[in-house]
Amino acid sequence: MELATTEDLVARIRSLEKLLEEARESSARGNHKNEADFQRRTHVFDVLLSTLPDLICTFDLDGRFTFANPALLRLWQKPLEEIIGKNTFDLGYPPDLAARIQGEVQTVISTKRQVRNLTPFTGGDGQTRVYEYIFSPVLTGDNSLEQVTCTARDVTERRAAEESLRKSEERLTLALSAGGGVGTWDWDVAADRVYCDARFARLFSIDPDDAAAGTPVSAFFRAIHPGDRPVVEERLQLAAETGGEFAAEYRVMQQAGDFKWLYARGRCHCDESGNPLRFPGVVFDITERKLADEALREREADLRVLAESIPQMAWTADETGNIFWYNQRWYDYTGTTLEEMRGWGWQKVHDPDVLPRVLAEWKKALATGEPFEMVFPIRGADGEFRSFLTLVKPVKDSEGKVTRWFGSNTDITDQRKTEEELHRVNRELEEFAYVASHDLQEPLRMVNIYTQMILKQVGGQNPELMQYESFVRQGVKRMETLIHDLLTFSRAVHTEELSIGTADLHAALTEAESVLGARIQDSGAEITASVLPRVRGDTSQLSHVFQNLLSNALKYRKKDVAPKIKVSCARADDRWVVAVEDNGIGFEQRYAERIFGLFKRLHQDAFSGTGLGLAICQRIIERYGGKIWAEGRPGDGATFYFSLSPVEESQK
Amino acid sequence: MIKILLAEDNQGDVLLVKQALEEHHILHELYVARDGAEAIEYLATMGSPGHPPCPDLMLLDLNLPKIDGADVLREFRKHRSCLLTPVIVVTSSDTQKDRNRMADLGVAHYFRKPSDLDDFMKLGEIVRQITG
Repeated sequence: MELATTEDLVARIRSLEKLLEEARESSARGNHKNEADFQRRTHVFDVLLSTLPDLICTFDLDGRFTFANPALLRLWQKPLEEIIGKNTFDLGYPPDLAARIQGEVQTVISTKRQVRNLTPFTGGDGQTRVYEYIFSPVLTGDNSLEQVTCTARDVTERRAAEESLRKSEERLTLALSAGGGVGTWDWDVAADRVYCDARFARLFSIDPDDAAAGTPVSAFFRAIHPGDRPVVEERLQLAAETGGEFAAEYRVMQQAGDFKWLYARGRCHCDESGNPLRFPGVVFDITERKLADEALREREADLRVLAESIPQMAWTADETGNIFWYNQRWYDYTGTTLEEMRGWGWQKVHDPDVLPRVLAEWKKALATGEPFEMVFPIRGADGEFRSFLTLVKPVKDSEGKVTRWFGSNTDITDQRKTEEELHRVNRELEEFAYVASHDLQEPLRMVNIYTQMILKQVGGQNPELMQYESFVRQGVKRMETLIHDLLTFSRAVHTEELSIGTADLHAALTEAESVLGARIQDSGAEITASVLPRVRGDTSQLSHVFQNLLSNALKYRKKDVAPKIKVSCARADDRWVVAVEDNGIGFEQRYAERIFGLFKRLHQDAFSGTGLGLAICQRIIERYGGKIWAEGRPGDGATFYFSLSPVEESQK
Repeated sequence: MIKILLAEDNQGDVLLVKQALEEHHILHELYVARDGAEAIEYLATMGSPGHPPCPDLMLLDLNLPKIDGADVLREFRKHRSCLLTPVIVVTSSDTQKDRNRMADLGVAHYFRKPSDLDDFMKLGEIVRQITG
């Protein structure tokens, strides 16, 4: 049942009161004939009041109850007899409330004006609800006060609804103002007047004062970018005709000459016959988002170009692992289409035997957000599998959440073949070196031995033949040394099993000294050495380096000066630097690099040598990640340095 | 008179071996196999009528054409009569691998061919010691 408004109630009560008045008057006139009529009217009065859901009562001029309707009696849970002649104090109202109500009744009595108010009240059932009430004076014909009526209504639900509405309006206002550049409009379609807030007006370069007074919708269209106008018009029209939702993204021109991107949403309300009445809505300024989107699209386009320009196959997946883009190379190689490959479709170009491992790795990465790399075969359009090194990396947002995955597949089939080929060539080279050492030396042995035989049998003591024989012998010796050194060199360069462990430099030097023992003794050389550390390398290989360096120091000594060789070691940053210093003939600094070249010799005839010794040293040192260099002063000795990594504490 | 089988493809070395034996006055009968196949052939027919006998000593080059010296030695050891016959390896190879391989097959001496004439002649001395 619909509740009557307060005004309605007052009117109804008035009419009831009028009825009562008439009854009284006729009674006063002593028209007892009308007694029955009066009774009838009073009954109607009671019935009427009893049907009203509102609370109704009357007060006499002393502020005492003279009547209360059934609804009010139910609230009090008292019969009518108990309340007649009592005031609110007597009924046990809370003293504050009772005082207020009695005061308000007095006010009506003294001012003959209505008093409206609101109060919470706890009824006999213990429920507290909010009531709106009106005290009204009942005046007689001569404007004197006869009594005071009160109507009260339970407004608890309405108040709650109003409160919630107010709050949501507040929230809306807050949201709109926080939204940045947001504006609202309300279009009176029939009158073609758009009422909008100042923000909305400014966005469309319209004077806010004009806008508040209402502006035709066409004025707003003028500001919309010509390119977007038809679409907006069409959608607005459609919404207005069908009474539906309207949404559009479009640009509005600004006075500065640029434009803003707006997102507009509205809804057209129609009357019962479908004519549009009002069309309210909101707009958001989405310029920043649009520009950011555009920048992102541009960047993505750049990345795509980049991804298309690389020799690898590349792809991107969303955070769940669905691949949504491949570069052209992927399609070219696999002969597939995006439709086939989308999401997890890539599995069909994988080797079924390897696929479970690939899936496991990929799913692990998706679960952990960690990158991974893996080598697996991918089937080409020709049906052949090739081997690919695959790198997969996550793209994370500022909070570390994975937003995308990037992957690349590098064809390493050829690289693998090359590696195998290199491996094979290295092996062959070693074999060759072995064969060369044997097969090249064999003929030399023959030359040597039979030259001796010739001399022995026919030469006798012939001095010329003896000299020829010695030349042959020297040639053979030199050739043997060359072969030996070449072999050593080739081993230093090509040995596959490189043992990088801990090299004891002290032991290496001692071994070199013992190999060169006779020459050291013959030359009267004095070799001094400081404490030498352990380094990363191999003791026997480094002994070879010391042999070469010491041998050079002995070889290139000054005539008639006993060689003095000083071996020392110093720490430079993260390296040990070993120095082998002599007091020999030295060399010009400009040759310092040349002497490490293959077959490079500074002293062609004066000193024997193959020109391979330092080249071998360089290869050995470089193999262990070190460097070797020399300093020389003509006539004033030479110093050879080499640097190597120290042994980590944990490796000692 | 000791019977010596020499497996050697280099004629120069054959001559030097003869020279070394003569220099040390070793009475000998020398049978020369000029490659691995000839050596195997010798072993297959030795002792039978019209063929040379089982040798008292084998001088074996390792780097033989057709069949490797090591295979010749293995075949040699299969003959019951040659089981204890001393073998001197005469080779230019000096790799540890070859030395180990020969030690495993049981050789009396590993003689590395020197490039000095006098050193080569010392082979005669070694033969004398081994054959008593």
